[in-house]
Amino acid sequence: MKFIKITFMAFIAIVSIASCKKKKTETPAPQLPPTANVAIQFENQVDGQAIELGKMQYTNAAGNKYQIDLLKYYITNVVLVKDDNTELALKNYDLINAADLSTCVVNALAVPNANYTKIKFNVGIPQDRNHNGAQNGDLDPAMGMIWDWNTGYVFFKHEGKYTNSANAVKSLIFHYATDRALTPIEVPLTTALNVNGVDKKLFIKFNLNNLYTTPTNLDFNIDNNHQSSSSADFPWIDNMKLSFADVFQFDKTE
Amino acid sequence: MMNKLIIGAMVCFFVISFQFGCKKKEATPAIEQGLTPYTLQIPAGLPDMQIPSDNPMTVEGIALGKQLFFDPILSGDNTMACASCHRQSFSFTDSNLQFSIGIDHLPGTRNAMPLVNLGYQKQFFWDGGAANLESQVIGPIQNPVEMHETLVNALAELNAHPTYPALFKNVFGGDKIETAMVMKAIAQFERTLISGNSKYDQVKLGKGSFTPQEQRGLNWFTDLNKGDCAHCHVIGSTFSDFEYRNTGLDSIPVDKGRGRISLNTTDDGKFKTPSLRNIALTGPYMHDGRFKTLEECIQHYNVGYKYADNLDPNLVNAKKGRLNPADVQDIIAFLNTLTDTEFINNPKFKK
Repeated sequence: MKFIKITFMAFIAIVSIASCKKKKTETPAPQLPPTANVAIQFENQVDGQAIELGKMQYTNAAGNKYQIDLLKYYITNVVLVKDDNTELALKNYDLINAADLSTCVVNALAVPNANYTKIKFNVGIPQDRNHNGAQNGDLDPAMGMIWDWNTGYVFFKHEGKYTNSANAVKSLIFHYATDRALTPIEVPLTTALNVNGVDKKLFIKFNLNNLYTTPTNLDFNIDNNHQSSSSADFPWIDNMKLSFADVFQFDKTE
Repeated sequence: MMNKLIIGAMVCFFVISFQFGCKKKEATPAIEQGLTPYTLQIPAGLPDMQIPSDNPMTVEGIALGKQLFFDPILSGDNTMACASCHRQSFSFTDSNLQFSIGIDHLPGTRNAMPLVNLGYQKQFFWDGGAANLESQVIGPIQNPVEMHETLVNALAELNAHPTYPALFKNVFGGDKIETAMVMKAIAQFERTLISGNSKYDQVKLGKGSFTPQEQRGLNWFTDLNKGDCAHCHVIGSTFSDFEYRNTGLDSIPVDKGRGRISLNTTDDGKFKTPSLRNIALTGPYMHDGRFKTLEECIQHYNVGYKYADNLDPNLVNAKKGRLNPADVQDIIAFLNTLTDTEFINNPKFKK
């Protein structure tokens, strides 16, 4: 009996010593979790002007007045690059609809604490997912972004109108598609995104006007309907691919 | 020791749960609980059919697909179903119409294709534009000259239906009917439309014999200096290589065909080789239904084909007029042996 008592007391003592020791090494402040969520917010605009559908209020670099009736694009396979060049890949397939702010965000969940200095992603759907319609989420065919006569997604759509040189209002249709159009983007984060256990926001600007400038300014009087549906559109696709390089820019973190 | 065991167990647990988590994310949908897996009965002489791993066949999935196939709910004004233009008695083509008429009373520009042994094909439509059978489903539903419905609308109607939500949930899980479920269910039903019991198949199995004329027809069919049909309409099981060819219908193609899909002008005017199973039931013929009879078809390959830059090499090398009228009749007699009356009467394919 005595033995048990002594053992019990010894046990209590050890436990309390152990817990004492532990307490001493702990920082008094509550510890932050090792990860946090990052909301990557896409701010769609035209040279600083907000996107408003159905208003003839934008001017491209060629001086054409135009409006936006629909502006949608896919952001896929986002990669956050740390300052030691290791990468965090999201494997996401997100459809951004400029007319619906709730869609203009890609959520990166449980991002490990670190300094992130670059974000990479595709505009478009990688080949392995581009040729099958039986997919869910933002790839659901009901999102209206897949061709039903030639299985493949439209990566970027701008539909609207422009005012031509004779001052008449004409329709504008740009559908950027086919595997050839898959566009890898890299945006350096000039202020690093510091993930430290607290949820963050990363703001990336999308400037539609920068899309119509490479290699020369696109004149809507001449180029106003490209739907990626014939080889005649290949030069346009290739130019768009180059143009996309400066469409996305880092804005800020919060 | 104990610690090691506990750590070991914890590591195992994390590894297992991590792997489980990964698997769940990359969703290869296992068959939902309580469903009955369905194994296709492939007739002797036909090859195995590859079923896509993300759409395993179940008795319940096939039944749902069949119900959708016959249900006009998928059309804009709820008057047309898949079955309206794909009728069993015509080997699932649209009677003898050159072009099917859609809900707005407008004709299409291509002849409705038969639905037979689809699981052997890799791409669908005359130009192969649908990358798989599932992806084909949304074409006719949305085409303005066919069922002219939006997917958003069709899903809303299905989700508000008294019985469909429970049926879909049973087959695919989830709380809401999504497009992919409709595509998968219909594809499951379509994969069951297997024909392999024609007179030709019975003769192959030693259960019958060709008439002398049918036998001559088979000989011309394979003879490189006569019909030379088997180059593309591979003899035996599928009666097609499912490749795309310009068969000289027009020197300058009206319909770009495969070229519209590959965006390669060397494919302009090419169309998929159709299977010849039940061919006597599926007239009129060619992608645009321009030929009313098999005789017209065979005469096209005998004398009628026109020169085109990308005319199929087999036709470039062929000699015009190599078949006499009796040879043509022999080939037709052989083609008639590919009619499978069990298939067109199979009660499993009826509404």
